[in-house]
Parts: sequence; structure tokens; C-alpha cells
Amino acid sequence: MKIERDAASLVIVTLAVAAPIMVAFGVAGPLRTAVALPLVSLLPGLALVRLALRPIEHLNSTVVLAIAVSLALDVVASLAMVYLHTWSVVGVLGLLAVVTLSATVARHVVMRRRTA
Amino acid sequence: MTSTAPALVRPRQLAGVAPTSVAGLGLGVLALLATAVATSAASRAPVPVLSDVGLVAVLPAAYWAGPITLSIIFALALPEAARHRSLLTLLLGCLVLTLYGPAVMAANAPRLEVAWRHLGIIDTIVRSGTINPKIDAYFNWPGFFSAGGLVLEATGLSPWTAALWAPVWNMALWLTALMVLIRGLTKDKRVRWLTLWLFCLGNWIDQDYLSPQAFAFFLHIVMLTLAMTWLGAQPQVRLGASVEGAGVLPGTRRWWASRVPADTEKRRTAALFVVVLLGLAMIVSHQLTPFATIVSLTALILIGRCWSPGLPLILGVIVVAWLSYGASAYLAGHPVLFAVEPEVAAGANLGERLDGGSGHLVVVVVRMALTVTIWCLAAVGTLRRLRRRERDLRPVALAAAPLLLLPVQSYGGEMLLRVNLFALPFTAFLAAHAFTGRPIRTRGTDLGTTAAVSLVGALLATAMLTAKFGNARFDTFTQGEIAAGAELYRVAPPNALLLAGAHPTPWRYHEYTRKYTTLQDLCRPSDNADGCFEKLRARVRHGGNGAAVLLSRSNEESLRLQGLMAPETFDRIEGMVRAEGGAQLVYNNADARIYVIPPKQAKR
Repeated sequence: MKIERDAASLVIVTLAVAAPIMVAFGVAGPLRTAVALPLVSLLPGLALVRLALRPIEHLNSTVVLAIAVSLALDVVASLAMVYLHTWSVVGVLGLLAVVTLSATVARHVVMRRRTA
Repeated sequence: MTSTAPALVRPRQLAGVAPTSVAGLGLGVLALLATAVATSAASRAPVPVLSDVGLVAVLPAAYWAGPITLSIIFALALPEAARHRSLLTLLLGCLVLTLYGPAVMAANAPRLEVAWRHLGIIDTIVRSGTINPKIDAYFNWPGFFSAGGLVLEATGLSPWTAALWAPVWNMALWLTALMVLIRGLTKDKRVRWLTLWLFCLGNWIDQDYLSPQAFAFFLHIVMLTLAMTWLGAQPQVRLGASVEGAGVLPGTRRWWASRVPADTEKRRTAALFVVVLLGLAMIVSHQLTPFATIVSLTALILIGRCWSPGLPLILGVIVVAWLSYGASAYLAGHPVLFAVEPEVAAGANLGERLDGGSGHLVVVVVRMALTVTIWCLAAVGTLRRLRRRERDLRPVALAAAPLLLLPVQSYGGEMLLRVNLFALPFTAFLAAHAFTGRPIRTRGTDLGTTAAVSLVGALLATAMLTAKFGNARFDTFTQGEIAAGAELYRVAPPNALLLAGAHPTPWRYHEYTRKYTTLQDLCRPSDNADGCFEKLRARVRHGGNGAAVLLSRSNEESLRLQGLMAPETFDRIEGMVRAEGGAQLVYNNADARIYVIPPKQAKR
């Protein structure tokens, strides 16, 4: 179980780091879609839900919350950048990646404290 | 006081699915085949749709194998809902594709002008990186569009593909969220699946295209789910009994004080933050939905089933803050948000929807009949729940709460539709009880119920297709009209006015901030051809840069079907445009013509 959860965190972190880099370097095609779509539609919410609302045992509850939170973060982050006249796709993706990574790291810290 | 949230946390051993039987597998394969037959048949439906009752009249006979077979399989699987979770999930997916996909398959182009327009708003924000709230109301609630720009730019997905498949994706997203919401309302799996099924069949309201309201509706469902589960509460005494024993005020206080929260303080706090975040995203994205959410949350609080009485207030403050800042430009031109005479609201919501040709009237009647049927089934279901002493008021309160929005604003004549959508998850839930009269734990096939579910399912599917795609004659575009829409930007002189016959025109997906108008905007139904053409000419002269005039088949059909302009008048106006000095026919195909009126002649 622990290995599974660590693997999930690893996938989340890898995709969160890869998506902004891929977009910044102008990678096109299905690979870009496959890597960037999770970051804008699932990962930040998933990381936050895993951190703050444990335990959710229904997969679809987790997915629904993760999608809703991720999309809400898309709105807030992109709109903030537009109003601040600093709109950049890579910038917003970077923000989403930071949220995702921070929540994932925070979760590991919390889990480690609990098991210690 | 702590307890687990009943809807979202369940012992792990219950989360598994019983092994799927051979019969279940067979039914699954049959459902996939029926869906394949239906979608393949839908892709052969002729476009343009040449029937006043819309797509339903031109779908090949083979298409109907889909909804009918799916209805029967669903009715057969329903009594053993706990065992057939995978099959029921598959059936729901097949139903979405079968009912929400035919127009996509038939036309292979996004329906509805407004979906194209939304692509133009996204394009404007992405290109400029700024928001000018003076452009129009959309730029006062730009959250969905900026996020849409982010998603499209980041993923490289084509805007066309996103708009084309949005109805199917949005419906899938709504249903996934509804699954979680309904789980908080009942343990009866038959009711859960039947609710989702009826939601699909009753949702003719056509708000599932690429739009802020579709996005906001998803957030609305998730917010209500959180309010009922982690932020939920349960009074320990009955209000009636409490008031009877202690008097109105003390009794009510005692009832209020007896509420216990559904979850731990830590998770309540986290859930509150999530609800506020979702509310913020909703408030900056859509004008109406936050009011429906606030009304629904207030209803939950008033019946003692939400632990956070301050939640509507927090959302209300964010709404006011946004109206004062982000939407202040809109408010300056529209000072009164919510003050409409009841007669005006009724006229806009109902009376105006009854205008039009005879085919269009059939569609309108089917829409009303479908809505009334769902509400009647909900009334029967409510009576059955009462008979079974199910005292949970939440579904009734949440079905009724959106009705409070009805008298306050016409919302462009669409409030009745929007209220129906906000109520639908709960009317569908109550309606599901009309078919599940036996107690939860009773199992086994009831032939009468199975027959009723399959028959009502097939009938509602037919009505839903008629209602949803009833305007297909004019809101489903041909490839010729789409080509003409693209050509318009190539042939129009710089800064020229872009003028179309009516609003169903596939345009504004780029160069959104140019000047656009239509004959529908310029003329009144009472105007004759000469009067309408004079208005067109005056508008072109006023602009001073000439005009590119796009007149299409869907324009003409729209004006005719809605009783706004006779085809003869439309043809006469086109003749006058052609005869205008200097006007040239620069593009022509089977479905559309483009005329360019140069600036000089327009000024003459």
C-alpha cells in the first residue's frame, strides 16, 4: 500500500515538473496533451485533496474533488495573471506545478510525522 | 462530536464490486453494440436538417436501436444494481454518447452560435493577455474563458475539438459529480442509478456546450455535495416535536442546538476552504449560478442539514465584491440586476417561448411536457417517500430552492430553463422513487417495475432528443455555412461591419472585438423588407467602413421558425443588398452567400 502511494506521488511530481518544461520548449502533439492535461485538470486538486481531506475511499469522490479543485485553481491562477498583466501559459502552469509539488511534499511530511 | 461523512467515506470492503455475471457481460456487449449502431446511424443523418421538429425527424431508423436497447438493459440490470455497478456505469456512458452525441456525429461541427462565440472570447483573452470589461458582459465574468485559454494553450487541443465534444464531456463530468452527491442522499443503489438515468433523460436544457454555465453547474454540484457531507449536519430532535413541546422560539432554538456535525472539525475546515475556492471560481465565471448556489445552501441550512450557517454570507460577500470590481463595467450599464415585474418575467420565460412556426411549437410543447413529466414523477416519488416515512427534506428543499430565482429576473428569457436545470438533480432523485416503491433491501426482479422503467426510459429518450435537438434546422451548421463563416474574415474590408442574417451564424470565433450585427438585431418582426433594409443601410452608413453581409440557410430558417421574419421578406432583403450600388457577391455556396458593400457606396 505504501509503495502504491509513493508511486502515485512520484507520478504526480513527474507530470507536474514535466508539463511546464514541455510547454516552455514548445513540444507539440499528443505527448504534450498527455502530459499537460493532467496538470490543468487533475493534479493540483489531487495533491491538495490527498493532503487536506484524507481519507477518501471512493475513487470517484476523490476524482470529482480533484477535478473541481484543479479547475478552480486554473480559473484563479489564470485570471490573476491576466489582471496583473503577466499572462503566460508557462507561468500559470508553473504556479499549478508549485501548488502540486508543495501539497505533495507537505503530505509526505505529515505522513512521516504520523508514522514517527 | 465526530462521525464519519456518510456519503464520501465507506468501509473499504463495501467499495468492491461483486463479480460480474455472464449475463451481465452479455448485456454489456449488447449495450456496446447498440451504441455503435446508434452512433453510426447518427453519423449518416442528413445535414442540413430539413425538418421543423429537428434532428429527431431525420435520424435513421437504426439509430433508435440505441436508446431502446439501452433502456431495456438498464431496466433489467436495475433491480440488482449492487451487483451490476460496472454494467450500469457502462450503460450510463453509452446513454450519454447516444443521446448527447448525435448532433456531433451528424454535423461534425460545434452546434450553436454561442459555442463559436465562446471560442472567440477565449481567443481574445489569450491573444491580448488582458481583459477589457467594456467589450461585453462576458468580459465581466471572464474566469471560465481565461481557464479555457490556459487548458487549450497548454494541452495543444484544438478549440474546434473542444467545442465539438463539450456536450459529451460536460455531461460525463456532471454525472460523475452527481454520483457522489446522490450517494449522500440514499443508500438505495437502484435510486442512485435511476436518478442518474433520469437526469440524462430529463436534461434537454442544452446548457452542456462549451460554456461558463456548464462549468459553473459542475462546481455547483460539487459545492452542494460538500455542504451535505463534510459540512453536513443532522438535528437530533424533530422541529415539529420541539416546537410543540417548548413553543415556537424556544423550540426552534432547541432544534437548532441539537444539530450535530457530520465530520471532524479538521475536515470541516478543509471542506470550507474548498467550497470557498470553488465559489470564487464560480463567481468570477458566471453571472447566475452563484445565486442558485447561495439559495440552495441557504435552504440546506434552514432545514438544519448544513453545519456552516455563514457559508451563504461568505459567498454573498464575494459576489458583491466581484460585482463592485470585476463586473462594475457591466453594472454601470445594467443598474438593476433583480427587479422585474412578475408579468414581465412570466412573459419572458414562458410566453415568448411559445412563438414560432407549427413545427417549432411541437418542439416547445414536447419540452414543456418533458419538464412537467419529470416534476410529476418527482411528486409521485415524494408521496412514496412520505409513505415510507423517509423524512429527509434535503432533496425536496434543493428541488424547490431554485424556484425562488424564477420571479426575480427573466435572464434573457432563460430563467425557467436554468431553474429547471438547477432543480433537475433533485427532481430526478425524487422521480426515481416513483419506480422504486419497495423497501431498499428487497431484491429480485419486479416485472411491472422493469417494464415501466424501460418504457418510460425509451419515451423520455425520444422526448429528450426532440426537445434538445428541436432547433437543429437552424442551430446545426453545414460545412458550407462554416466555410462561409471562415471566408467572411478573408473577404471583409478592414474595419468593415460584419453583418449576418440572424444569430445562428458560425462566426466570432476570432476577431471577436470587430463590429458585428444581424438583421435579427436590427429589425423587428413587424418590419417589412423595405423598412428592414433601410435599417441595414443606415447601420452600414453609420459605421462608415462598408460591410460584409453573410446570408445563410440557417439564418433564414431561424427567422422563419421563430416567427421573426418570413422567407419572402428575407429573400427580398437579399435582393436589395445585391442591388445596392457597388455591392458584390464575393462568395457563394449551396448554403451561404457573402456580399461586400464597399465604404464609398455605403456613404453615398
